[in-house]
Amino acid sequence: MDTIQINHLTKHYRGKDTPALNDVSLTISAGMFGLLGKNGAGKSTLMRILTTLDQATAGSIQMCGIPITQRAAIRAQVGYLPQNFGFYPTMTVSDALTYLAILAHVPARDQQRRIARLLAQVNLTKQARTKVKALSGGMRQRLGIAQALVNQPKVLIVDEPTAGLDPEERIRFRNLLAEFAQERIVLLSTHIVSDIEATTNRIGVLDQGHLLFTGTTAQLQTQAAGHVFASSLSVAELSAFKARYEISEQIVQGDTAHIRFLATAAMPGASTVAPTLEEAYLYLQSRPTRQGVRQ
Amino acid sequence: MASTFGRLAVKEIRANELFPSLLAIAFCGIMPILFTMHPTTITQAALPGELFMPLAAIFCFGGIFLPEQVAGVTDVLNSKRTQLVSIYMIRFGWYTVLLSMINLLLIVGYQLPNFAGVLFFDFVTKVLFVGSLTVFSYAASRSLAAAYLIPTVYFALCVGYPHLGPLNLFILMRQQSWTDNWWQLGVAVLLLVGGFGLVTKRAVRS
Amino acid sequence: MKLFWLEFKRFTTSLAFVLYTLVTVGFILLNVWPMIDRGLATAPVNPTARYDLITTTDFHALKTNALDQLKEEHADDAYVTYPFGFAKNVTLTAGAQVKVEQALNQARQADTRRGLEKALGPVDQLLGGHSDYQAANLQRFAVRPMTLAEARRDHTLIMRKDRITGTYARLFADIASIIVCILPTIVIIAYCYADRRAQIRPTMQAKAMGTPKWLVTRYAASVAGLLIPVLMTALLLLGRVILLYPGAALDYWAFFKAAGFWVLPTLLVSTAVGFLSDALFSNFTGFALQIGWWLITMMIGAHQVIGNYGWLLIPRHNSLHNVSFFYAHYSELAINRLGYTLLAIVFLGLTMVLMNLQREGKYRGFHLRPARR
Repeated sequence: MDTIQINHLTKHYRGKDTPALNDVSLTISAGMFGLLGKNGAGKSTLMRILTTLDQATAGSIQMCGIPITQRAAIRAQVGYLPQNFGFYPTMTVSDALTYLAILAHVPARDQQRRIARLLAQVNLTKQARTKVKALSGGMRQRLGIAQALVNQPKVLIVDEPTAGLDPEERIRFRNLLAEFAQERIVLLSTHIVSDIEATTNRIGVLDQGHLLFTGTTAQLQTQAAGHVFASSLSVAELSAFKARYEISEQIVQGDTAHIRFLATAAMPGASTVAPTLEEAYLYLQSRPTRQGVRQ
Repeated sequence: MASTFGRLAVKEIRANELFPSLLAIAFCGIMPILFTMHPTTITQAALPGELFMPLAAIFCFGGIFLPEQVAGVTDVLNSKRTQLVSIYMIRFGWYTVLLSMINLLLIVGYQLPNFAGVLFFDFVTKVLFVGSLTVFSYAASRSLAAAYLIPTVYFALCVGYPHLGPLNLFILMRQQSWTDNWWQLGVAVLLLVGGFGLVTKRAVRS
Repeated sequence: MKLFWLEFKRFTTSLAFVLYTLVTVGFILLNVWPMIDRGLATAPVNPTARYDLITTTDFHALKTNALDQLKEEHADDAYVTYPFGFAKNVTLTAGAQVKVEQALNQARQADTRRGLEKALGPVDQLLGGHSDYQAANLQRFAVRPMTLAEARRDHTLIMRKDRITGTYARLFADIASIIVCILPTIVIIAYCYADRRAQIRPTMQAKAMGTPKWLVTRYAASVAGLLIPVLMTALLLLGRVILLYPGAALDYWAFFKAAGFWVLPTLLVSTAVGFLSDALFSNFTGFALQIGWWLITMMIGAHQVIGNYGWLLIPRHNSLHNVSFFYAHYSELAINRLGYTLLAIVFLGLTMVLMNLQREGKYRGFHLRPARR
């Protein structure tokens, strides 16, 4: 069965007081799954453990029925696009893919055909003879996704893939991921909510090593329902307001600021609005700590 | 301004030079095992400073360019008012002082007051000559490997190749005149000016 | 095989490799080319000429030289020992001086090499070891100029066994080993550092290929590349010798045999040190270690450059003569070279273990600072 089962996963780094992952349990089935969290939430640690590049301190993982400890078998079915993907700048795109295809144990007879198809899929056919250093950021990420797919993996793990891309490239990249998710598990880690919004409705939220939430985006939004408000106030009042409440949107027109903000209870002069995913995420993140949302 | 630069230098040395410096000191720590610390002639006294310290210098000065090899750092630094070349100069200055201090310790330990001045001049010249060759090799090629390769080959040539004249590092060991060091110092200054000039002129290849 | 070619292509098109090739070819030619012009074809005839040095097997010469030196050092109470090859002055107490005198008297009576070794052993101990009087170092006293008869025998060996090129090939191997003992370490560290610069490691580590296959392929491609300038100079020198000795019976493979048999094991070690250093330290720290090893080897070898194999990483034969020494100590040299080839394999094995640990997140390189997340 094509699922990733993560049971009570904990990761402690030597010399750190708090664990990078703290008793995380999660089941991910076929299709796209979004892993949301701030920088340092533990997403990359989880990705590295899933790709066998790091070891958990406690807990277990089964990937498509194979325990994570069987590294060779796991590597054979995982494709990985790490955060900050790079390759030898003087190698051509085609050579880079061939190089990584060999490392991924793609049979020699299939290499050429598979690389040509992948290049076409990620729209890099024209750049096959271009050196890696000459690629734009978006092209480089597309090369990254092509190399991750070179072994036709059952599980594709992508870590912060859209950071630094322009809007057009970001959309193109998200569409590619959605396309590839049709026939495998795609685990997308990001701190950019719009990436999740545009690609999947199944998410998990990590914060300081804890799994705060797992479910659908709709469920997350439901949790935040009744806690997001819209209001208008004068610009002079804005600073004091910000100190008490988490503002999710503000549009200033002259002396008036039209705002959306998070609060625990209804407020006079503010109308309740349906939370966006970003607001629901903010609400989840700020729930334990922020005073404002509890009022 | 001076104190700001001083603070920058302290932070820089603590962040990037501390570990290599400790390593260099440990490397130099084996000198008493290898060489006599109570030499009776200037030829014997010159061995550690001419034969060993240049190698420590290649290691130290080659490391000047190591921290910026990670992409992105160079551009960030060069976008500031204090440019990368100033950071390189801080590092160069630091290692020159460090290695000169080790040389000084060595010479004080010898207790050869008659030779002390000549030995110190000779040893510091070696450090500067090798250091400047390292800086120039990197600046001209933008290759970290060159920063280590070229001075190492030059050292190897000094061991066996007889036609280097006053530019042979082993001046006192081979009983050449100590004044040959002026040649080496002159070349060192030229290489340093050229090297730092090139670094300033061209952005570092990332 | 395809991975090998991709690695080989990447390696040989790097600036570090181009520089390495230039300086290696330059270094070897600068040191060997002038010696090639020394003619070897003419047989020695002049009984009064001063011929090159040889390591003699003549016990009398060895004993005389050893005892002359000891007598002088004892008289001045100024001895020299060579820990790690570097000269160090030693003076002895009055009691120890008396013991040296006794040993000297006993050594005068010795009529065999064994007897001399036994008599001088205590002197070496009194000096703290590493002196010329150590049994293994006594050979250093056996160097003297050839007699005419010895020069003729030497010439015969050059013409018949070495077939001229073999003689030059030894000198070539001696010089080439000096340079390939250190430069490959730098080139390899820089080559591996490129992985870090390109932020490529996680991508490669997550792939299916096992570490041994990947590392061995990379090692083989690097060694093949690093041999190029050695083989290029071998070819150039062979061409020069062919031009200088038209019609002579030459061994056309001599330079290449020397490259494979003599130079390659040294290169295998310095290359393996580069990979090991990268796995251990992730920076240029390994260079300091290798250059230390190189310098010590050079200094030990420098005591007898005309024929000195033992366990030197750079076996020395900086002479166009002393040919019989080479053939007499051929098996010693072969064991040396085999030993270093095995050492290179051990280093590679260690690298493999470290790389596997890194791949599993169990080792992050030797740092004084806390490991980064």
